[in-house]
Parts: sequence; C-alpha cells; structure tokens
Amino acid sequence: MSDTSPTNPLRAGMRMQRTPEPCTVVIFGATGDLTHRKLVPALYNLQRERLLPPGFSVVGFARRDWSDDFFRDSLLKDAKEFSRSGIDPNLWGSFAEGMSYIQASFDDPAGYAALAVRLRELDEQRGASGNRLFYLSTPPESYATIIQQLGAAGLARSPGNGWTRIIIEKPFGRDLTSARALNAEVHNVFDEQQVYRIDHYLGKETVQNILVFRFANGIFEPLWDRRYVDHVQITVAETVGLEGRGGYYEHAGAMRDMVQNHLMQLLTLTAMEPPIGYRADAVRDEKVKVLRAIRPMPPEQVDQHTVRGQYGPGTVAGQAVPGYREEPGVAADSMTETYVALRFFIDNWRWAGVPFLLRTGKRLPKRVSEIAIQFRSAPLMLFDDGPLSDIEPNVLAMQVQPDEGITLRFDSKVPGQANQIRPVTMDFRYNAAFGVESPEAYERLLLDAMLGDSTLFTRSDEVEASWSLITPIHQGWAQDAPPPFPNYEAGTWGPKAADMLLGKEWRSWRRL
Amino acid sequence: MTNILTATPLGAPTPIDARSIERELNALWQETTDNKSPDQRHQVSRTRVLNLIVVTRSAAAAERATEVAAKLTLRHPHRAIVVNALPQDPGDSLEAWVQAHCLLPIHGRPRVCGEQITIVARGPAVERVPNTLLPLLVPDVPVMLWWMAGAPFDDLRFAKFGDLIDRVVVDSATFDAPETTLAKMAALTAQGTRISDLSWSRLTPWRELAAQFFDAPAQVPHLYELTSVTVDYEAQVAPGDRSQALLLVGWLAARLGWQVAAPLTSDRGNSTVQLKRTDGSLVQVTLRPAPMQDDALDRLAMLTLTSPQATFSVARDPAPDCAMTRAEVAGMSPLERRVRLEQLDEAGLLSEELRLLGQDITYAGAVRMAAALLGATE
Repeated sequence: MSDTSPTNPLRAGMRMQRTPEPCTVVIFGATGDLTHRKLVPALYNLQRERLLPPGFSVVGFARRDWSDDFFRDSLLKDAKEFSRSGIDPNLWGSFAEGMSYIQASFDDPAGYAALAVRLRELDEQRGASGNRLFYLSTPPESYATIIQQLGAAGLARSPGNGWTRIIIEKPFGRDLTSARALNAEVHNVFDEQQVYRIDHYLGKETVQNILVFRFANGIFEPLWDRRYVDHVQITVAETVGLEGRGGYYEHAGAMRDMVQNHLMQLLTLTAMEPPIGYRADAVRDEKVKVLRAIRPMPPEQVDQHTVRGQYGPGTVAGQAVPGYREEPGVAADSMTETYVALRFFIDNWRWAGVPFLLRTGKRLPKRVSEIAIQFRSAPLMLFDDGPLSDIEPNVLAMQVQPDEGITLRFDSKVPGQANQIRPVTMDFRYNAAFGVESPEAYERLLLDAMLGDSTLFTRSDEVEASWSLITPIHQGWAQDAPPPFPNYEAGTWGPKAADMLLGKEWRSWRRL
Repeated sequence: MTNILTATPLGAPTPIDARSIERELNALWQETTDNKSPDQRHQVSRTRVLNLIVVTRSAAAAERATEVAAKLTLRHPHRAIVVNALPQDPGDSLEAWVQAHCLLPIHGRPRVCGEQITIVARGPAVERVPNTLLPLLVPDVPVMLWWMAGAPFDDLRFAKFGDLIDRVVVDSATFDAPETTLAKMAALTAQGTRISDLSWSRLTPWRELAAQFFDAPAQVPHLYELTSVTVDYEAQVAPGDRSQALLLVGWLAARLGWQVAAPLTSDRGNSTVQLKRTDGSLVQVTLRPAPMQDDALDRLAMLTLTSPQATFSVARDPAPDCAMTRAEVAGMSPLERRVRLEQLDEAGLLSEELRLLGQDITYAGAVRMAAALLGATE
C-alpha cells in the first residue's frame, strides 16, 4: 500500500458499493417530466442509499423563468409521488441544498457563461473538483445546439484533473443520416469516451441478467448456436396506446420508438459472443459485431421480412379503446405503424440460418417482454405412434418484464400406463428468489455514468450500425404499396400476416 | 401471517423421521396453493435459496426467531429450522412441527412463502440435535446457523455443528461480555470459520460514511496523515461495552496498516490507545462514553478523524435514522450534509449477512486488530 496511492484504502474488500467522486450533475430540460419523474427521484434514492458523494450538486438548466426555490419545490412535489422509497424530509433538505437553477434558452451563450460561473463556484464551495455530468433531457432537436454551446463556452473539458461527461437521451437520430450527423456534432465537442447514450432498457436488472445467465453458467452456452437452436423470438408487447404522445409517435412509429433501440439491445445481448472481459469496450465490441453480422435487407426485399400493423378500435382489459387514428394528435389517415414484426438473419458461424423473429406493438393483449430460445426438436419419435410434431420442442424463455424470470420448457411423461407426453415448465421467478426491490433503471445508469462505466450505454458505432439496418427498412416501406391500416384490432396479438415470417409450418408465435 | 398446520411429537428415543416431515411440508404447500383462486394458484412459489438453522434457548427467543424467519422470506426464501434447545428441562424428547410463512402478496408480484421446521429438544436429547438436522436440510443450497443462544465458544454443541454449516451468525452485542469475546472471534476467523457478527453489520453504514470522505483522490492523502481518531459510544456506565467502537477502530487500523504502539488504558471513563502508522508516526485513539439515546444495540454516537490539514466527522443526528457528516479541509469551506443512518432490526441485519457466502476478510482484519487494541492478542 503506497502512501501516494490515489485509491481509497477504506473501500477495499468492503461489502458496499463504490461511490462516485464529488461531482455536479447539470440537467438540460430540468423543468420536464423526465427530470421530475425519473431523474431526480433516482438521484434522491441514490443519495438515500449513501451512494452519492459528499458535495454532490444538481444544476437545472431550462427556459422557464423559475427560481432556485421554485425549482426545488417543484422537484419535491413530484419526487414525493415518484420516488420508490417516498421522501424523508430530513434527507431531502440536505439533498436540496445542493440544487440550483439557471434560466436560459438553449441557444443563449449568456446562459452557458452563467453555468460556467456556477460550476466553478460549486467546485470551490462543495469540492466538486471539476467533475461534471451533463444530462440532455430535452427534445432531440435541441441536442446539437446544447452541445455546440457547451463547446463554445469551454465546458466540454474540466479544469484540473476532473472529468466531464455527457448523457444523451434517446432517440439518437431518426435515421442513419441524422444519427451520423448528430455523432459528428457530438464528436466536434466531446471525445467518445465522454459520451453516454442512454437506453434505459439496459438499466433493467433482468436485461443485465441476460449476460450473467449466458456467461456465468457453463451449461447453456454450448447449446447457444445453430446446431441446437431452431429460432429465437423476441417480444416487447405493450397494452397501452399513445398516452398523450401522439405528436411524437406519429413521426416515430414502432420501428423508431422500440425496435431500433430496445429490441436491438435484447437481440445483441442474446446473440453476442462472450466478451473478453466485462468491460465497457469489450462488451460493446461484441454487440457491434452482432449488428454488423446481421444481413441487411435491401429495400426491395423488405416486404418479405417485415410486417407492419396499426391498431383499430378494440378491447383491452375489458375496456373498449379507440383505434390509433382516433387518438388525439393522430392524422385520420395516418400510416404510422404501431406494430412491427421482422425477421433477421445473423450471418456468422454461430447463427447462420437461424431466424431471429422480433415483434413489438401497442395495444396488444398483455404487457410482456421476453426472449425465447426455441430449440430444435428431438430427432425422432421414440414413444407411441404419434408424429414427431406431437412433441413440443424445448424453449428457454427469459422474461424481462413484468414477471422477471427464466422458464425452461421440456417434455415429460403423463403419469399412467400409456407413454403420453406433455410439455411442462421449470420456472425461476427473479423476485421469488431475490425478494429485494430492484433499483430503478435510471438509478443504475446515473450511478454508472458518474463512476465512468459506460458498459450499459450505446457507443457511436453501435448506434450507427443499428440505424444502418433500420433505415433501409423504412426506405423499403416507402416504396411498397401502403398496407391496409388499421389491420389489427386493439387487444389482439397483431396482424395475422406476421405468421408468414415464421417460415416453417411447425413454428408459431409464442402465446404469451 | 403464520400458518401452523400440525404439531408432530416425535417421541424421545426414535430418530426424527425426515420423510414424514417432508411429506407434511409438501401437504402444507399444497394447502397454501389450493386456498387460492385458480388464477392466483400458480403464483405461489416454493423457492429455497438456503437453509437457516436457528438455535435458541427459550420459547420466547424461538418465537422471535420465527418472526425474523418470516420477515426474511421475501429477500431470502429459505427453509428455517428453529431449534429450541432446553438441556435443563426434565425429560428426554425431541418434538418437531412444520409451518409456512406466507407474505401478503405485493401488487404485481407472486406470493412468496417460506417453510419452517421447529424442533424442541429437552434434556439429553439436545445432544442429538445436530445429527437429527442432517436429513432435514434442503440439499445443494448453503446452510447458515444463527446462534441466538449467547456466546457459542464454550458450547460443545456449537462445535458439533462445525461440519454442517457454511456460515455462522452471532450477535456479539447480546453477549454477556462482548469485549472479552473479541479475541475468541478473531481466533475463530483466523481458523477460517465464516462468521457474521450482527454487531459488526451494524457498523456498515458508519464504515460507508467514513469511507466516502476519501473517494475523492484529493482527500486520500489526509487518510495517511491521520493523527487522531475519536469514537463516542453510548454507554450506561463508563466505560461500558466498547466492542463496537473497538471494531470500528480495528477496521481503520487494519485497512491503514496501523500497529498497536501502546495498549489501551482508561482514565475517567475515556479509553486511549496509541497506534503507529506505516510511516512510523503515531495516531492517538480515544474512545469516549456518551449518554445512551435509546436501547438500540447500535451504540455508536460519533466518529471523528483528524489530520493536520483536515477533520472529518460522522455523528448520529437527532432526526430519526439520520446522521450528519462534516468535512473541514484547509482551503475549502466546511461541507456538511445529512445522510441516512438507518437502524436495521435483526431481520434487516441478517438479510444483509445472508448475502455473503465467503469469508469476510475485512471483518477478520478488523476483529483481529480490535482484539489487539485490548492487548488480547499479538
């Protein structure tokens, strides 16, 4: 142990988590919903768990004319409602002391000059040592402006030995061109190591558990390839409709809103090779390799590999609900897709010929996200005279939400004289084995960003590789004849046409 | 909610019949499941991630153990085997019965149930308990022993459990003479016994808060230049039980490589001990009794670390479950903040301990130094 070692000797071997160095979080768009409902409650809970450093501060930056006090009061009001642990007024008081607000429009250099002054004061008064985390919680149109202004104000680099990092919310671009343009803007000002592109799906415990399940166990990985796997189904189903997001969703659609980010994350984590270490770049290198190995769809073949849907009126949970085109903020002849099913092939040694079937949609019967590995059938029917298809193939399903768990389906003999066979499941429920309440995704991600761990964030090449698969699909759709929207009833599992993606008569979409 | 199904007296000289107990547990689970409406039925899950053997010395303690086991179900679904050992009681009998703890379902979650076997051993039958337990353990998951019957060191029955268990949990704050057991605890950990002391677990938030001052690299040098450490501990009479304060100082000393220079002395209630840093300079450690605030077993009041350029302190706050931390560093304005310092109950502490499977090396180092501070070893 050297006397000059900068590491904290009291942390060694301790049963508690590492906490970040003193720092300041600057939230752009601090008056918005995300800040009030997610970010600040997440930060408060981190503070409550003693995971935030002394001298931790929050600076809100937004257009509205709010005072420091109004900002704190407004955050407190929502934190009371949205914090998973409630609010202890004694702790909140101390937490709120470190909060302040800067009123400025995002393109006003004076606002950034004021921010620079505030940050210097915090460095001196609260010992933040020049450590800063910028959080872009604004509409995506403002990202480029804020990044340019931060650069112009000299805020992209920290004084002394401090660090400066920036978290960028989704959506990151709306196609390959805009994503590349935004990456170029970001890299004009920040190094890639400073950039944390957030996809809150990666903050979920069960998503992280995919890698633990695959790579901390010895028995699954040998089966995880084309020799044993028939196909993979990834489902992210929502029961909700638009929830007032009509204006945004009309221009996004299910492909941009869900597939490009969440489903592609689940796909890459499921299909990636073992990384050489659990480190940010090692993990992300493998994810990018999967994306690059996915067979691109030429626009003229898109209709063979994708199915779009849009819900009409129907019933969800016993309630009559309107169709998509009747939702507020939606055009009466809208052609926006609220459902997508698609088939990808990953052209590498592990997965050649194995279809990856993805589907997501709004107003489906059940809220469920899962990854199902469908194994090949037994090679021949040994029992009785029934056809082989009487035996259900084995399925390993990883449920991501809401009932996080892992289920293995296998066949078993029905008790009795005959060799009757029926599938049974072996269930592992995450919250039955670990009753502890999981932290919110944003807690984990904010903490990781403060600690400088970017494993659970998207790298620039990853986001571009993902768009380079999605953009040709949009181009193909634009060339095709418009589908007969609405083509599924709210409260059903989407358009029947999705069955054609299965490719083989024995395959079917999972009944969830 | 505890659902006691049956009591099965098992007769003195006959061995406990593990199969009949398993059958009863299965029946109990069946009943737990059958009582539900059809759509809830699949939601009762029988998961057991560990065996928890609890040894008590009275019916009241056995009841408390049952309550704690029920609370633990949510975080660590387990099979609890509560052994109420009454060697002084007349007779020679082993009685056992099974029960299930089901937690009221939390919205959107499956109902979680735990199972418990309670054994009452009277007279000489107490000696037969360890072997009786063997067939009752759930296979392939860890076996934890929570020894609620005071200090276990001189108890031969404790030694008999040795090969059976993966980890033993004690609470030295409830021992008759906690300070004198520090050396015995140190000896046990040195032999490789995996021990959890709940008294040590109570220090976790204190250690976290102390460590946090030094997460900023700029503050680390102050840690190597500490000249004094003061711990205020709550005591009924001076000097009272200083074991928690000694463990906390023991931890700092072990982490920072300090050695005892002059052993502990007491003067007007205050205890002092001199330690030597790795660079040869001295650190003055003072343990000061403070008035009792409550009868909670968490007995620390304040920790102060001083170096020539800085003072860091953590102090219990009048606001419930809170502490104030304060850092005064030369050239910077003092920084104070209120943080959570929860007082965990037995279930909460145990729940933290049951997460650990391996040897707690940090504890081993801390308890060894704590004993050394008393001059008990080295």
